[in-house]
Amino acid sequence: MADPFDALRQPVVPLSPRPEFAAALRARLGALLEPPAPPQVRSLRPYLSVADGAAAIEWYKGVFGAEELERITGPDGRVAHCELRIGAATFMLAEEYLVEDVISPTTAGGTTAQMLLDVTDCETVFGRAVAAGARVWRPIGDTHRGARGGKIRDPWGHNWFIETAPAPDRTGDLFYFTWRMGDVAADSAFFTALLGWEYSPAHVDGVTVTNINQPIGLRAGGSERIRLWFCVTDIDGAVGKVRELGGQAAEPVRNGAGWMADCVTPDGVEFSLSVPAAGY
Amino acid sequence: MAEEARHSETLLDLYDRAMPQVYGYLVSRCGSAPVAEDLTAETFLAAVSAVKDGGVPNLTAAWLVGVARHKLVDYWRRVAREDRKLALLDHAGDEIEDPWDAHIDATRARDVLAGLGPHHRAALTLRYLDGLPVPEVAGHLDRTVHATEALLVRARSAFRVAYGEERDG
Repeated sequence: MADPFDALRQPVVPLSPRPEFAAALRARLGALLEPPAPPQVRSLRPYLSVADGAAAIEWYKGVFGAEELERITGPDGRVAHCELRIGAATFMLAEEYLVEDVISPTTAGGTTAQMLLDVTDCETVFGRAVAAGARVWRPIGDTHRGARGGKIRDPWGHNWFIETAPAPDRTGDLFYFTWRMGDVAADSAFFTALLGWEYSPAHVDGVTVTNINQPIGLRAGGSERIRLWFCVTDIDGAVGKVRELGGQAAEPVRNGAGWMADCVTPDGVEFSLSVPAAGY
Repeated sequence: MAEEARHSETLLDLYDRAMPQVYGYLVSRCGSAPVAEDLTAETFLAAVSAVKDGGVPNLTAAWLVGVARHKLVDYWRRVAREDRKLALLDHAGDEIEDPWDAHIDATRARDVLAGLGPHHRAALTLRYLDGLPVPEVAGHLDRTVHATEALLVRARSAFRVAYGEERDG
């Protein structure tokens, strides 16, 4: 006998849900199915072995302008660990650690890993190294990579290429921007309290924020609320190009931060161009 | 890893085709669009976990409907736990099954089903709406075949009572 309940049989009838629901769930699934981001390297730091830790630390401070961040000395006076910062880089050093087969170049009679130091004035640093007893492998000259530099061996047996790499091309990069405030004193105090901003006096009335990733100027006056400055390598050439493209450009002026020119796009948007001075 | 990547692509590719089937199944069985949406989301999220664990040999819409069925049964279990008084219905009507000649009106049947306790609703849905054989129903409900058959007896009984009441009511 047939089961009357078989009348309940109901195959699946497709039905679409609300589009917003379907779209939101799809986005959620997409995010979950994304492959994880590959590991990002944040830094790579050399750890040098030296025969005389205390003397080496003083040498690197004097020649490279290194700043000592941390030092651990063992009971026998040996330097077990030291962290040094030079500019944007940090490195570490310690005396020999035979337990892990770490020997100094002095013991080895040679070296294996070498360092390349990219500084803004290689001639000065190179000169200091030589004056402090470094041996010259290669005097300052043009390198095959378009940089300028030379190579020394320091008194601890480590080899250093001391170079000044060509300046990165910042054309088109945002150099600066100014922000017109109602009351610079009050607003700058507000941002200091909120975000910890620190300032130095600017070239015109106002201040420059010095401790954030992008220098910005807070201004009392000016014709617009925000003005953006972009880098170029040739201010006269760039000004000519602006006019050629149908915009307007004022004659370049020079101040402590470099060459500047105020411009306007063909449809009236104001901006500025700059060739930053060294160090800016 | 490559296997997983292929499946991830396939799940998103499958999504547009499979969504109406998953949602259609759930909304027809539980009768509520908001509940069906929640269970649809649970279904696809469970699919993502399974794909990432690498345990989906046959990633199809039918497989997803199977996952949806699991989520539906889990939902009714949750409802049953929250609604203790309906536990009484589970013990009522321990009758011998009588042959029932009546013709069941499918439309009215849906309303009757919606009013049953979740255990009964789950059993009847899987056995009759979905057409699963009793051992599969037992698997979904996590009971023995014997206990499932007994549950189906009580469920049909409760259904008949409610169906009759509706007709007379």
